This record gives sequence, C-alpha cells and structure tokens, in this order.
Amino acid sequence: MTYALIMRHVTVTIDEDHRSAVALISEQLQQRGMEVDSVLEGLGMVTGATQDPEMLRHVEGVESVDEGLEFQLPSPGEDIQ
Amino acid sequence: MIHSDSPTVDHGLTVPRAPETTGRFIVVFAEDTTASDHGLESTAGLELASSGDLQDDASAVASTDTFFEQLGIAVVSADPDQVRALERASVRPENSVLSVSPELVHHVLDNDYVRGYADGVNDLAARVSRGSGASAAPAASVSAIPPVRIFKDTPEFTWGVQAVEALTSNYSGKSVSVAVLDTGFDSGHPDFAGRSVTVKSFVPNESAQDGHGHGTHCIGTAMGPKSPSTGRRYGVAYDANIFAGKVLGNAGSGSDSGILAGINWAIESGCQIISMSLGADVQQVHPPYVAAGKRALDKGVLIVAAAGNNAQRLQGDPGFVGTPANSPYILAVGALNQQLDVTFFSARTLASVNGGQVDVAAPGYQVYSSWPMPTRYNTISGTSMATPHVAGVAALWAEATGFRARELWTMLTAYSNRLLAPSVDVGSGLTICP
Repeated sequence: MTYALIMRHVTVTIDEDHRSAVALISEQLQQRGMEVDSVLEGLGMVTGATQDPEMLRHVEGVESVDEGLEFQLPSPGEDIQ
Repeated sequence: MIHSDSPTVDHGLTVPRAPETTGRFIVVFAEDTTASDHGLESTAGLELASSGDLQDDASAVASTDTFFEQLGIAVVSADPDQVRALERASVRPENSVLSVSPELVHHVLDNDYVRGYADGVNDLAARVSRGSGASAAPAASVSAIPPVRIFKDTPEFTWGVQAVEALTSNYSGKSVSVAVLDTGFDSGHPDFAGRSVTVKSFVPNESAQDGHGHGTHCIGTAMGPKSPSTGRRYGVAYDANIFAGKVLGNAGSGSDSGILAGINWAIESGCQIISMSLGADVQQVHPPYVAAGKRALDKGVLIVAAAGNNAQRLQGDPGFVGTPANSPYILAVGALNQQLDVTFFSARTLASVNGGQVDVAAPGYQVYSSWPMPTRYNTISGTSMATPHVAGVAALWAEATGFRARELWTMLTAYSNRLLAPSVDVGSGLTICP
C-alpha cells in the first residue's frame, strides 16, 4: 500500500445541514490526518491534502471528498487560449 | 404568434399585414398595484371588474373590462380620449400606469406551418434548378437570402464589443463588481489608471501581478475602458469594479484549492459576477464545482466559465465541455468567429453529462485586448476570450435590471441572439447587452 504515503490534494464539501459548522468539521478533518490549506466559509468547503481521503468521508457533515484537479493554460505565445 | 410584418403569400399578396387588434387596450401597472388603487376611474373614467369577481366565466373576461390582480394588468375598452388620458398617465413617473397597448388577436400556428412548407418546396425547387445549371428564375415568393454580416475590428472598436452591442447600450456596469479568476492583472497598465481595482493572489509565493498575460487580457475584454488612451475600445463593462483573483500562476497552472479560494473571496467581497476562463479536459462533472456554482447562485453570484478549446472540428472532432463549465450551476460559454459561426476549437455539449451544455456564445476569435506592459495589447483566440465578453454583458444586465444569479442567467440566455449554428455548440446564441 505504498500509495497511502503520497499526499493527495483534496476538496472536502460540507453538506447543507452542517454549513455553519465548517470550522468544527475542519478540526475533525485535521484529527484524521488532513493538512488544511483553506477553510472556505462562503462555500462550505475545506481544501488541503491527505494521505488517505477515505478517512475523511466518515466525518459527520461531509458531503463529498474529491481529489484536486490541475488546470493548465497554454503558454502566453500560443494563438488559442 | 403575430404576423405583423410577414408577407401573406397564401393569398398571393406580398404587402405587409398590420397586426390584428380587438379594439380594446392592455394597461400594464407598476408592481403591487391593486384593484382598489389602479386609479383608472379617476384617470380615464373607466370602471373595471376584478378578475376575482369573474370567476371562471370565460365569456365575461372576453367582453368585460377587467383588472387582473395577480398580473397588475387591465384589459379595457377605451375611446380615443380615454386612451390619451392613459398614455399621459403612463409618462408620469409617479403614476402606476407603465404602458398602454392595443390588444392583439393571436392565432394558432397552422398557417405558418403551411406557409413554411410552401417556402421549403419553393426553396428546394430554386436550389435544384440552380444546381442543374438551369437559368430558371426562382419562384416569386422566395425571398433573397440575407448576406451574412462579418464583423471587423475598426480603428475605434473591436469586433467583439460591436457584436455584443456594447456600443449602443446605455449601461456601463457601474456599481457592479466582477471578479476575474485567472493569472492576475497588470496593475500598472495605463488603460486602467483611476479604475477601482482589487487584487489578491491565491497562488503560493506569487504576487497578484500578471506574469502570463491571460488574466490581463480577460479583464480587458470584460471591463476595459470606454476610451483607451490609444487604440480601439475592447472592453464591455467599462465602469464596473475590477476584482482580479490570481488562481493560475505565471506558468499558467492552478488547482482546485486556489480556484475555490478565489470563488470564496469573490463572494465575500460582494462581487455579483465571477468570470473563469479556465478548465480541464475532464468529461465527468467535478462535484466541488457543482456545490460551488450552486452555493454562489444561492448568495446572488453568477459564475461564467469557458466551455473549453478541445474541439478539432476540421478533423471532425467537436470536443466536449470540460470542468468547471460542465457544472449545471455554472454558465458555459462557447466561442464565435467574426461570422458568428462556432470556432473550430470551441467545445460541444456532451450529451451524456447532465447540465454540461454550452449555455451561450460570445466573440472568441482574434480578440484584441490589454496585455501586460510593455506589450500593452495582444490579439488571441479561445473560449477564454469569449467568457469575459459574457461577464461584461452580465454586468450591464445586473446594472440595468438589478437582477442577480439565476435571474441574471435567465436574462443572458433569454436575450441572446439566436444563431443558425447548432445549440449544442452555441447554446442560446450570441450574448447581447441590454
């Protein structure tokens, strides 16, 4: 299970019923191994990284845990942006 | 459907036909006007029944002057003096009468169907005769195909600001705040001197200064000045408040965490519109952008995003709308060329993704806009360039109507100019300013 050692970027979405408890849920996510980048109160989301996203799904109030996507623009000299 | 200006070929006539009217008038009142305070009796001496009194009596509605309380609209029989009194009432701002119009006669569409069929047959006959080299005159009722308008940059205006009708709009985006989440902004660009600009970087170890150019170009299209000190006008909402969130680094790359932090910042900063000329070629809907798009709308904020440039239409590949534009709560923007055709790179709706359609289209080919100094200006193409056109148009609609979020979305799609291009490529068509 070497993959478990890799830190993965994740976005944790808090469900509608727990939107007011984002800060509390963020603490619980950290107790389950998440390194938190940002607590986004306006969106009800917590972003960061973790070795084991599955561990985060079981925190009460978590709607989904999604691995981060990367976005890449063409270089400035390209005609189509 | 009213055939007010269409030729009536079914009787062999080609003169325009005036709209049929009933002789009665429709009076539209300000919102919250009630049966007791519409004032028609005092203004024009008209006595009205309330729609509630007529119950379900259809013949009574057709013949009795009626005030429809739920709509704030009355149908009245008025003589010319009474009509003049109502019209005078409608021009006074303190009055509750907003408009007075003749009641029109509406028809079912069967005549249109027959006429359309006849036109189709005539058109086919004309095409066949041309194709065979015959010189037969086309059937008399076939109207000439209108020439396709081709937009061009002029010394004064880009083709994009002309096409979205920014030049004839009375609105400027004043008091509306638009966030462009991109590669930042060249805050020293002379075209933006004196403007309200707020910048913030969500890219670790990079300032909000644009080290790529993409962000400065998008901000220019959405909110560039009405009269640049040099060169042509390229911006739509020239009086809007600029919020530049840097979520893509100088090398052009970024991640969910920065983009979501940028959306969160724009919402908390009171922006009404968020423009995101970014995307990943991922077919699946990415759940964070479903939640983020919906929660932004719930807070009165509309997100527009680029459909993507993954089509290679000349090779027969129409591509697909990627994430985040394929979120059903994010308005996806396709790119048009100067003939208002879909561009060869602009991504198509992916039928298998619910909500992942192109919603609207805008100029996205050979778009001239601002670029970090000293280059100053650059002309590039992409759905990235179409997206800020829509953001700027949305700012004008937000100013004109006071609408936000879903209502703003509706105005953008309802008022866009329908195109001959397939809806899977251009959605409801070319975005248009109020």
